[in-house]
Amino acid sequence: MTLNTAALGRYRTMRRIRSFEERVGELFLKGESAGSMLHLSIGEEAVVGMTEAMQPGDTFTTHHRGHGIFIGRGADPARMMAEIAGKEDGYCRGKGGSMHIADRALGHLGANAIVGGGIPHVVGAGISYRNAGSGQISVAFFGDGAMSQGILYESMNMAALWHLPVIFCCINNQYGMGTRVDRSAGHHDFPARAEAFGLNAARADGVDVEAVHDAARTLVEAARRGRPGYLEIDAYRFYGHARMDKSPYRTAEEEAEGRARDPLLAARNCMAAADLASEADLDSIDSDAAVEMDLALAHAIAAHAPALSTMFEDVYAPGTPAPRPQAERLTAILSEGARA
Amino acid sequence: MIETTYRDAIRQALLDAMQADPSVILIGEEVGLYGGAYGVTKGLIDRFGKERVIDAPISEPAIVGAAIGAAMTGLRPVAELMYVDFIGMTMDQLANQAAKSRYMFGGQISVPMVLRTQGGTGRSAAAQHSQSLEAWVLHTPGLRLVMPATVNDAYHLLRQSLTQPDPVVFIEHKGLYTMKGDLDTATPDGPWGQPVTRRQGGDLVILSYSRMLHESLAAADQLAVAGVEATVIDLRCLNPMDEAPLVAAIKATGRAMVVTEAAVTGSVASDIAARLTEMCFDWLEEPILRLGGEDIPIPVSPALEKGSIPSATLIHDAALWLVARKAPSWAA
Amino acid sequence: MGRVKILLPRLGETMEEARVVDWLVAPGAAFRRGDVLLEVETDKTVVEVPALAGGLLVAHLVGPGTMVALGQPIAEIESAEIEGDKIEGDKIEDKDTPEGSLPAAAPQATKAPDPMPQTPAFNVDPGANTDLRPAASPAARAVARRAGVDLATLIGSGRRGRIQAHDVRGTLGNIAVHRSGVGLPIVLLHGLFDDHTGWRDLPRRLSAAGHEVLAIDLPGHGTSAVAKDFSEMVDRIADVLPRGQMRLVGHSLGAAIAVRLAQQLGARVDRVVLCAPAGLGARLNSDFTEGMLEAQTTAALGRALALLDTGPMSSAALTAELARLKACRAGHAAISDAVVRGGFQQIDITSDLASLECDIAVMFGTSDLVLDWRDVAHLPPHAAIHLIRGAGHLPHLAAPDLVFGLATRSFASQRRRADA
Repeated sequence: MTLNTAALGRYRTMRRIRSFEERVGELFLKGESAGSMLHLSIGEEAVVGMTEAMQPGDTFTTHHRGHGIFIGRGADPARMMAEIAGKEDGYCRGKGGSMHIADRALGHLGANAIVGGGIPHVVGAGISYRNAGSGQISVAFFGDGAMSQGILYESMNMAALWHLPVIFCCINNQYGMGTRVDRSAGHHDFPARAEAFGLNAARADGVDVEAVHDAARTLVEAARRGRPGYLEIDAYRFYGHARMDKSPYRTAEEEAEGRARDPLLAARNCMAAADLASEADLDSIDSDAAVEMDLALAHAIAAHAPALSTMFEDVYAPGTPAPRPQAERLTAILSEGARA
Repeated sequence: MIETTYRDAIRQALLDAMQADPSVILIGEEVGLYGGAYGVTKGLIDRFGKERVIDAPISEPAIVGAAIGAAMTGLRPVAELMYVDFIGMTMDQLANQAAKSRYMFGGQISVPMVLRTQGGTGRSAAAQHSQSLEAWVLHTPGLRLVMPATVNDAYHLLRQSLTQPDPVVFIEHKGLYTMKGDLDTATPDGPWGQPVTRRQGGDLVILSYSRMLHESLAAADQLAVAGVEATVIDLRCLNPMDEAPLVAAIKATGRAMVVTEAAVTGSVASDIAARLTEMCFDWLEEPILRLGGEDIPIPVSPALEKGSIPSATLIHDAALWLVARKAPSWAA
Repeated sequence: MGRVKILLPRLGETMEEARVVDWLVAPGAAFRRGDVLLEVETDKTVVEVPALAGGLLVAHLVGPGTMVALGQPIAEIESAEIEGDKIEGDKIEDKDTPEGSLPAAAPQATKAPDPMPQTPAFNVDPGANTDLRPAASPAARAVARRAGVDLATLIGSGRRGRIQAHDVRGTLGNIAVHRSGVGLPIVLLHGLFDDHTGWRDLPRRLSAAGHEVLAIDLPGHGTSAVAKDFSEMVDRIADVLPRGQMRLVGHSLGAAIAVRLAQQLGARVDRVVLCAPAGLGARLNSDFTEGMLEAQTTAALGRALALLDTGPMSSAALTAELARLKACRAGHAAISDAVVRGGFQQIDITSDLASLECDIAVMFGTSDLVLDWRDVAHLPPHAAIHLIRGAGHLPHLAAPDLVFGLATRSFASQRRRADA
């Protein structure tokens, strides 16, 4: 593995993800988030190894724990935070929230709150790219919980069958909600499952973003040539299922051990050892990220809530009839005006 | 008679049922060690062990399918679907398998299971975790459908569901789990399938169920201040439903509305309003109004979410408009 | 050997037609059961059409490229294995009238529908004439239908001028309701030949006790218009009843009406109080009904009233009563004819009573000369029976405190509900 300036960039992105997620926690504590269904990706930042292996024009879908993935693909943290706060200038105009962020321009085809819900969409995207010969790929990001969903295997089979430019990327943080992987799978060698369908498969240590990146690059290259792949990032979910909830299903010892597997700390140590960056350089990256995310937080809090009337927009395409508001219907029935 | 919460009443019903009948088992995501996403099944695994309280992988169709098989072979499974929004994934098992087995197989094979789940808004849980999908179930012959609104009903309707010979879909409301109320485990509120009149009044009838019952009762209290007396009926069981008391109440007043949290088009409320219009036609002075959620997905923004479903104020305003012909400020 | 036509069979669930791709069996050639005769292309795919029986292909009726509708003949064959009509086809003998023996579905699939008759009714813009029908609530339409009222003659007081039930009732004016007081409504229904004044001071006492009292003149009585039969009487009175909960008190014929109303109103009625109710038994003293209908003198009226047990009456009172009766005689005759014939009662309320879930309180005088008090034996077991020794056919006047008490007491069933 060779370290270079790109590695420094990956460290920066990982730090930005962590700072962002920490601010999301604060947003909730300040009572400014839309709801409490905030799933933080702290501990899973090495996913940057995968997102950086993708090219502009590549598309992806994510699960409910997808903030970090989107930052890795270039998201504007202020608009993301605004969406999490349910504000008008959020990525989805305050309609979607934390679990449903999308941005067509950056190739984000949508975050999903249904486990496995977004996985088959990359198969369809793969058909588009294959037929167009565009050289793009589409990546499905999901957690280990989705390894129990039938639709994953239907999708893997199709991708292999039709030689689609697709990657299935499982961020295995060891927990589907409160269930550890060894309590949800009889046999949890997941790459073997993917291989059985005919996919290229690899497992990378999620503590080492460079290892993830190396594996991802190989898989992405093959995928662009019509050989779909499966990448598993072996990580640890530092916190509870949603925001900071307590995790009664695991021990403090296990948590301490898991949190020691910190991809940011590991990257710092690596870069220092390779003399790629000084402590001071890295600290300044950290403080830049903190400032950026503080601004994003402040922006989200100050942003306007959407007008009530916007709730009827985007149910159907612009220019087609929108749903009739209930007040209109009741008025038609109950008004005292002339008989229609 | 004790005071407890809706959540604890459901847990008590599961506990009592499991104690009384060793064939009752629970199966679902996080029902064991975690104690349920909303804490309903907390502690049951310690009491009954992991063979009767089964933590399943995130595999909704197979959870429901396995419950069906267990029911076919002598167990009384309670499958838990963490959110009713996930029912789409299980719909084949539910609608094509559970609902139809007795019929397709000529009455030989029954599926006495309960599918417990919860729905509704109130937590900014967004479009895929906030829906009210009871109409999907009501539209499937062969499924029973129960939606308790009170603590006492949460207990008794679940116990009664566990005595039914056919599959029952039991939909709780996430916004009611912490609601307190009296629980009398000895005396049910009303018999299975029968609505309960929660309030008497001579001016109009408000029919509702689940969380909207409480909004309707609050609206009725406000209406009384304005001199309008509403009868408020808690439907409780949406299938089977005893329509006779509803018909009698509507004939007495000539005015009625059905209130639901679900998107109003194609809703349970629509069907009930249509049925009652057929049966009470000659007694109606006004159309039976449907009050429901706007016909949109549930938005995450708290103001939008709240604005998209009926409130006590909306019910009050519409009722006052209907009975006293006093137009509200929001009249379009 | 039968000569038959083969029809294009259904080869897929959604198939309505198919294009002939090619024939695999030429005219004059023999084929066996299961041999592929031809290939056709449906909306989904190309399918082979096999023979259902062996035979000789006589002629192709459609060539390659032809679009063929489901059930249309495609070939003539001769077959020894089948009778002409046993396979999907008609006998060749029926050639001249092929439709005659096609499978039932085929003519509908191939035949054009009859042209729509071009009557003016079909050309009217459906939105144009909505104002020809007055806007009225379903309840108003029901009342108007029963009363024979033309809604077009009414002005509605409802939303956007909609005619409501009370608008129709207002124009009927044919059921007189004498109201007093405020509170839980009590409806008083008098007996045959009587009117609302027959309750004496009961209405005043009830309204003083906190009730809305509705003393009704039965159809054909007092100022109320006549009705043609018992059920119309009941319907017309139902139209003027208040909304919500109420109690019913009836005497004789009025008691029978009260029972039928209670049966219709269900839980809205928590108790009926029945004073010498009609409709329990078969017989009735026809001397009374005939006497009342035919009395032309105060003496004759006095004899009839003696059967009623009114007690002694002054000649002035008798004169006034005779004038009242004569003024209403046509209505009385019509109603009497509808409910009594030749000493036999024409109405029976025992099955209505048996299905009532509300409280039932019955008063009877043991010296009733019009009805037989022993008919109480036909009451359901949950009815409370109050026998008034020596009283005649007006037990409520003989025991005014009792009828007041029965009408006003809070009831056991209500207490049960309140406790629950």
